[in-house]
Parts: sequence; C-alpha cells; structure tokens
Amino acid sequence: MAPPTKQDFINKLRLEKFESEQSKAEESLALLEHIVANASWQTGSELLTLLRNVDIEVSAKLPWETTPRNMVQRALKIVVDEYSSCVGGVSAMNTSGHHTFPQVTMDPTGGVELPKCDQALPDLRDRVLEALAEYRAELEQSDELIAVQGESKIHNDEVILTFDWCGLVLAFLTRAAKKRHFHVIVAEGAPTYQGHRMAESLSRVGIQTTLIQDCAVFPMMSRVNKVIIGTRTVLSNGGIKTDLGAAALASAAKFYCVPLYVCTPTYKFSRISGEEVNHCGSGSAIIPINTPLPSSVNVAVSKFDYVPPENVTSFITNNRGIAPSYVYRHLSELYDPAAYHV
Amino acid sequence: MAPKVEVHEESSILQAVILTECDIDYGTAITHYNPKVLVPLANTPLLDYTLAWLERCGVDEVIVYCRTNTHTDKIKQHCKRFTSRREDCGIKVMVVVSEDCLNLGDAMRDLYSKSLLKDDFILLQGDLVATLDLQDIVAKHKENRLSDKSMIMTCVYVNKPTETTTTTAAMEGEEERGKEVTATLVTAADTGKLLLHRRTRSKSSKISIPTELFQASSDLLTYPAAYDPSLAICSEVVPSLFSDNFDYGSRDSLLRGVIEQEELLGYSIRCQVVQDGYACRASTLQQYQRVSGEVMRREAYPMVCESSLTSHRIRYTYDPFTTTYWEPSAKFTKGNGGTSEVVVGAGTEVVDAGTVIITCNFRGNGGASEVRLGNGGTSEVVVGAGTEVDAGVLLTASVVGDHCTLSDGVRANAAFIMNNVHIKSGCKLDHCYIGDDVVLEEGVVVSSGCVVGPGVRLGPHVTIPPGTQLVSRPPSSTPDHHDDFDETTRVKEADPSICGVKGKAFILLPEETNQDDDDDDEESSDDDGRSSGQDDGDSEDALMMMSDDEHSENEFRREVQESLMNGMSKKSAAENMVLEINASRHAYNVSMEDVLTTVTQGILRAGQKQDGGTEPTWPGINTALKCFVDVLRNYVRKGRDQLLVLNAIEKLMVDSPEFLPATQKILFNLNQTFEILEGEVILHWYKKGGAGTTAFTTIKTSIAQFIEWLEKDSEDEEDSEDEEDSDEECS
Repeated sequence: MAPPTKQDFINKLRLEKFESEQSKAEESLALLEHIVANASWQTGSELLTLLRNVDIEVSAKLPWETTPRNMVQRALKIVVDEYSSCVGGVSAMNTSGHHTFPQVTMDPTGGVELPKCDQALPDLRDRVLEALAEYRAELEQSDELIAVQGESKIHNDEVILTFDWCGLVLAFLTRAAKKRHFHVIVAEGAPTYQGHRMAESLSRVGIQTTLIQDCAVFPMMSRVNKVIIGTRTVLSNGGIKTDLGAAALASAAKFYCVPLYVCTPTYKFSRISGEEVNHCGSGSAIIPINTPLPSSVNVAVSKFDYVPPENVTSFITNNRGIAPSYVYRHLSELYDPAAYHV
Repeated sequence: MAPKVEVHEESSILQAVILTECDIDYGTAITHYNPKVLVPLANTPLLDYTLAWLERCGVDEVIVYCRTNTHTDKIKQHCKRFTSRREDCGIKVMVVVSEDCLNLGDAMRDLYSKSLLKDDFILLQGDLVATLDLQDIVAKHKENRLSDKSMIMTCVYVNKPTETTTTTAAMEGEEERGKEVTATLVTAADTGKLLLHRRTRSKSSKISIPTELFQASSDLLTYPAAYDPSLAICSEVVPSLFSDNFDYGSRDSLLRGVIEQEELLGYSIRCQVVQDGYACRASTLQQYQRVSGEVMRREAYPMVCESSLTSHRIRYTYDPFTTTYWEPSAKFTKGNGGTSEVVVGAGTEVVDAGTVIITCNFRGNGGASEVRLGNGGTSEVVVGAGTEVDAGVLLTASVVGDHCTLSDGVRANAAFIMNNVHIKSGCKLDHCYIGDDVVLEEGVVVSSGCVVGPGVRLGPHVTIPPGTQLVSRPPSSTPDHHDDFDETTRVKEADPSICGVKGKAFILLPEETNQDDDDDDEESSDDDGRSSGQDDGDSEDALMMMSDDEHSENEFRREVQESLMNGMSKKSAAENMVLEINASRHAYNVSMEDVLTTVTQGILRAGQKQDGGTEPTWPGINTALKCFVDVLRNYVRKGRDQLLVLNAIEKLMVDSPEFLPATQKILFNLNQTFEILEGEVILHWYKKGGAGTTAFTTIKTSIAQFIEWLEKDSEDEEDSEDEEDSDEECS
C-alpha cells in the first residue's frame, strides 16, 4: 500500500469515499502516524506544526468534517504529553495544571499558542509512535466496547426508536438482541433513506422492526421507551450535530420524557461548539428527477441537524456513559488545552 | 481495430480531450481579451468546472486542445496553476496547441497524427458544466464495446425536463437552447444503437422517421429533443476515422457519415441518454446566464460557488435562504439614515448578519410593472472578495467579481460584473456583461444584451442601447496587434454621445471585425438580433446568434458556387466536380435535397456569371448546362429529384427574376437535349402548380408554349407507343 499523503486523504474526504466516521478516524490516524514516522522534524514544536497543518487544511476545505480534526488534536495532546514526560518535571506540572482548571482553557478568546517544545529529543519519535499505536488499538476497540453495553442498556419488551443508518447503533442493538427481546422503530432518514437499510439489517438479525417516516416520530413517541441514535459529531457544549431529522426526533423525545441515548466513540467529541457550521446540499437531492419546478422556487437543503444538550440524556461511549453537561470535562482530558485554538 | 485487447487491462488510463475553441463564441468584446474557457462563471473560470468534474470522475489525463492565438499562454498558465495546486499528483493536464485547427475534425486529425490518444477517451467542449457520473457512462461504453466490436462511439445526451413556468426571459432562452443544442434521436431500443440523428430545427410537433428504420429493428426508441452537451466517449477508432475522412468537420458530420454508410464502414454509434446529473453548456451568453443561475441554485452540486474549485477551500459565505454568496472580506455598508434614494421597494427585506448586510429582493406579490425582474423570488447573488456594496444596491441574479465598488442606488439584474469594476450611484444594469476594470459613472443605464469590454469608461448619464458591444480601444483594421496601440494610432476619439462626457468607449461594429468568416457571420447575426430587440423592446433576442445550421447552409452554398465556377473555367471532369461537391456536403452536413437545389441553382448562376454581364443570356446558361450536365445527372436519380430540380429553378426565379426569359429554353433543353427531366414530370409539376411560390404565375406564362408542345408531344408518344405495342403484338 502506498504511504498515505495529506493530499490523497483530503481528496478522499472531499469525494466522500469514506464509508463511516470510523474509517475516517482510522485513516487520519494512519496519516498522522506516517507524518510522525517519516517527516523530517527535530523538535517537538516542528512536529506539532506539521500535525496542525493537517487540521488547518481540513478546516479550510471541509469545515464540517470534524473527525479528522479531532484525531489531529488527540495526536497533538499525545505529542505534548510525551514531550513533557521526556523533559520531565516542570512542564509536566504545567500540563496537569491545566487539567485542574479546564474552564479557564475553554475561554475561546484566549489566543493560545501551541506549547513550546523546543528541545530536540532523540527518543520522542519512538515514544510518540508508541503512544499513537496504543491509541490506534483503543480506536479499533471502541465500536466493540460500545456494542457490549447493549444488553445492559436495553431491557425485555422495550420499544426502541432509532433513526437513519448507523453501524454503531446496529451493532449495539444486534448485541442486545442476543439476550433481550425488544421492538425497534426506525425513522427512514429522508432524503437519503438510509433508514431503509437500517430496518433491513435489523430485521435480518431477527429484531422486530417497524419503519416510519421521519415526520411521524411524534405520534410514535408515546409508546417508545428509549431513543438510541448515532451522531456525526459531539459538540463541546454537549449538543450533537448529526443527520437531518434528529432535532425533531429529540424534541419529540423531550416532550414525552423519553430518554435519548447517543452512541458515540470518544473520537467524535469535538472542541467546536454550537451549530456554527452547516453544510448546504443541493436541491436535486430532494426534488425527484424530471420534476418541472420553476427556477424561481428557491430550494434550500441543509445537511446537518443540531440537537441541543438539554435534549440529550446521555452519551454511550467506549469509556463510560457521559452526561452532556460533562462533555467539557471529557474534552479537557482528551485534548491539549492549547489545541482548542488551532 | 487491432489493439482491442487493451480494453481488458484494468490499468489503462482514462483520457479526456477538452476543446477550448468552442464552435460558438461570446463575441469579440469578451473573447478578444480572455479566451472563452477562462471567462469566469460565478467567479470561477469555465474550464475549472470541466476539470474539476473530470477529476472527480477519476479521469487520469486531460488534453486541453487549443489553437495558437494570443490566449494560448493564458490557458497554459491556468492549467499549470490548476495542477500545481494539487501538488501535481492529481489529474494530469496537458495543453496541446495547434497552428491551424478550425474545428473538431481538425483537432481529432491532429491528435491522431501526434498519437496522443491511446484508448477510449472522453471528448467534450471546454464550456461544459456537468456533474454526470462519467465512470458509469465509460463502464457502459466499454461493456458495449466488448459485446459489439463495431461500436466506436457513445454519445451522451441528457433528458432534461423543460421548465414550464418561468419568466419570459428564461422561456426565450429555452427556445434558443432548443434550436442550438438539442437533437432528435432514434435509437434501437434493445441496444441503444443510434439510427437517426438530426438537429432539432423547427418547433413543429412532427418528426419524420424514414420507414427503412422500421425494417431493421422492431423496437425504436425516440427522443424528440434530447439535450446535447456535446459529450462523447470515443474509441481510438474515432480519430483515425476523422483522419481518413478529411471532410468530417464536426461530430455531427461524423455521426451522419457513420450512420449513412454503416454497411460501408462497418461502424456503429450508440447513445446514452442520462436521466440524473446535471449537464449544460455555457455556449452562448444566454446559456451563460442560464448556467450561472443554475450553478448559483446549486444544481451542479457538488460544484458550488462557496467552495473554490482550484483549492477546494471554502471561499464564500452562503446564505441558503436567499441563495446569496459573499466573500467574508466583502463590505456591505449600511446607509446612514438618509434613505431617500434607496431603491428598496415594496417587499424588499434587509437581512442583517452581524456586520454584513445584504439587501435582497423578494418579489412575492410583484406588481405587473415589475414582473420582468430576475427569477421572481430569489436574489441569487455572488459577491467576490474585497467588494464594497452600498446599502441601497439592489442585486438580483447577478455575479460581482473581486474588488468592485457598487454605490448607492445601483440596480443590477442578471448582470455579470467582473473584477475591479466601479459602478457609481444610480446606474441600472440589466442582462449584461461588464468586463474587468470598467468604470460606470453616475446614472449610466446598460440595457439588456450589452457587453461592456474590459477597461471601458462610461457616463455620466448615458443610456446604452440594447445589444451594444463596447470596447475600450477603437476597433481597428488590425485587431491582432492590439498591443501596438499608442497615441499615434488613436486618431479616433471616443464619441461622447455614446459613452458620455467622461467616457472612453467605442462601439464594436459588426462590419469592422472581419477577422474571418466565422466572426463576421456571428457579428452580423448579432446585429440582426439587436434590431429585432429594439423593435419589440425585447432584450433577450439581442444575444441571439445565428444557428449553426443556417450558417453552414450559407457556407455550403458559397462553396458549391465556387467549385462550379472553378470547374467551368478549368473544364474539370464531372466526377471530380461531384467529389468536390460531396466533400463540401459532408463538411457542412447538408441533406441531399439541399444539395440538388443548390447545384441546380449554382449551375444556372454559373452560366450567368460566365457571361460576364448581369443579365443572364441563354448562350451562357447553355454552356454551363453543357459543362455540368453530368454533374446534375449524378444527383438526379428518381422522379422526385426531377421535381426538386424544377422547384429549384422556380425558387431561383423568385430571387432573381432576370432568369425568367430563359426559363423556357432551360426546361426545353433539360428535357430534350440533356434528357434529365422527363416530359411527364414537367407536366405533372406544371399541373400541380409548381412549388407554389410567387414566381410560378410568371413562369407559367413564359413556358406556356413549351407545355403546350409537351402535351402534344406526349399524346403523340402515347400514340406511337401504342402503335409500337400493337406492332410488337402483331409480330
């Protein structure tokens, strides 16, 4: 296999050739490992700059792709940690000092520079690679770790509502179905209708499945026990940014006091906040072919939905269950405080 | 046909050929400064759309083919920039320049001789904006090729729904587009083989299909008007076919040739009519406007205005609610209180996005007086970097380039404003193209269909009539050496009545640009359009160009006349003449009927010219007829052809009645001496009332004597035949 290059990776991202967020995460990690192993750098700062360039490029070209950027920030954190443990003493204290006051570093106005790692340490490269390999192992296990929680979260004869296609939710439900008997309602997820695929997969593993329209979630909600959905991004305020239709679903769940769980690996936790980036699609996605629609009709198609944190009950992650109000805390563990402002 | 085996190889690279010298141009005021393919559409050069699409479709190598002219370097540089942005690891772009490439056929022949095309390739024009799934199309093409070795080309058409309810402006565009770029197709339903290809000419609802097509195949699939994006997947046979047949000029002539001589060549062509995806050529300025609107409405998704096609960066902020794009550095200043002359009319809304204010136009309830503005409901505006737009500006369906200033009270509808343009208050722009560095002083009104070339100054307070092309330098007899302009050559001063007191502009008159025939025709047709635009106050006509067909017919007529004149003076052999005429016929893609008409009239005219005088005399015509009788005989095969000859003669009388005295002699000789026209046919034609033109009555009187004689003759003949028959029976 050819070594991964930044250009190839971004092209692949741009042409939407990745099947899932997981593959995006794995491939971006491979790219970062390649940069650490093969790029010419001497000091920690140089490496940090190299890694950060990936982040900058992705954010300029594809600002809605958060997973690769999360990976970069995670790598930055690993480099800084390894560097400080190499140097030892003072700087290690410094980083841990940030941990004790995470709310200070969350301040978006502070133009924080990348931490200074000016010393050339010969064994930094190996140590970083080692840490990245560890992280890779964690990454590859994350789906499995979430799926095993299925049977503890779902009880017999419950009605679960899910939405659109999500491999993680499918694995979660499939695992639960081995021990439990329950009913799943799938909202179809227009205009891509990936919910159809979800319903098909669920029924194939022997789960009783009902497919409904996205707009029919409200009348259905009164009989639902739990809503379990996947997401594309977990925002720093504890809200989520995901496929269109989730916000209505979450509001309906809130109205009927149905708990809403979001299955997400920790790499989807992003430092961006609010619904600041919405990517707009094309009208041709929702208008059937050969519909004579006059050009004076303005068709606006957005791709993502924003679910505010108050509508999310809990995140089911590979580490533990996390409440939306604790996302910030988790973020400060995952990423270096300085990396918030790349 | 030999290197067939290569098709199986997975590693073969996919090539595409982009022709930058498109068959239709935007007119000299634009293309003199910038090649057509680099004209920005929504602030991105047209060529970038094509390249980005090909890249997205996984094309490995692109050959950008252009003719040597002043723009060659620009295209080269642009392509270099495009690839270097991708760190040269993405799509490969090769610019091939040729000295004398006039049409697609020449380009193909040249590429064949340079042997740059190895395998199947994609052939397209540089002004195409498309999002079709090429990989799918190419895969189908290869599959078809494997099953049918004689298949050499797949033509791609788009079956687009025609828009039913649009503003009048768009409707006219539709008609125009129908004339130019749709084709009537008849294909075999099972294989998709193309059996008939015809440019849609009339708006009539009838299509005539030759009956022999039904004999060949039981199932025919007909597309009355498929939109033709001039896109084809060609096998390596196509360039060799072009080089074998020097008279194939365009893809249409190749189609015609291959379909007509299927038995002879043993090749066939298939077509794919694609349902989904977007494809449209910005071939004329009207189409440009249309495509621009469609790109702004994101129909060409994922190629959208806010992301740069060169660097893929997000360059504009997009407001989906009003379909407005603006560069973050663009300034939209707020008017300070005194809003007396602000043009925000009823139903206009001001959207406040932080420091950015866009005035946009909502015409939900639009009164009858304001119907003709833009596309009704949306504003569809793109505003480039560093541009300053004042609060009172009203923009609809327009594109504003980088570093422009638009002062208070400017109204622009469907205006395409390039970079560094300064428009002062009170200007009104409507359906026009404003080039780089233009300055419009206060109160300039640019009417629809105008093209304001780069560097022009206008104003204050002038109105530019519809369809005017303005340039900043006086149009001179040596337009190719525009760099040499200095004080000495500027004898002509700009006319203040046209461009205003502070202005500096010259009207580009159609007569003054005799660069070559093509340009000439285009300009004059522009002129036609302009006058009609003034007549009915109708703007869109102004941009109308003469249709290709009409143009080629005229060309054909001229060429045939020339070869007849030459043949007469050189006493060429008849078969050589036929060959020559047939060559022109293929080159211009003319039907047999038209050929016969043209040849008949041409021979008679040749006789007139040979005589030297303006009055046609019988001796002159007689020598011409004698000279070309074999040529004519070659084309007259059936009784119907004889009628065509007669009709052609009649039509000639309509145009030039001076032939009238000679008619009787012409007919008599064609009948008796040369035995081309049978007496019966003439009588039949005569009784039916000829072709029904105005000239027939006069002809009728002048040939009455001949007809009378013919009638008598035929009776005699019948008698004698009867006698002969009876004789035979006896013996």
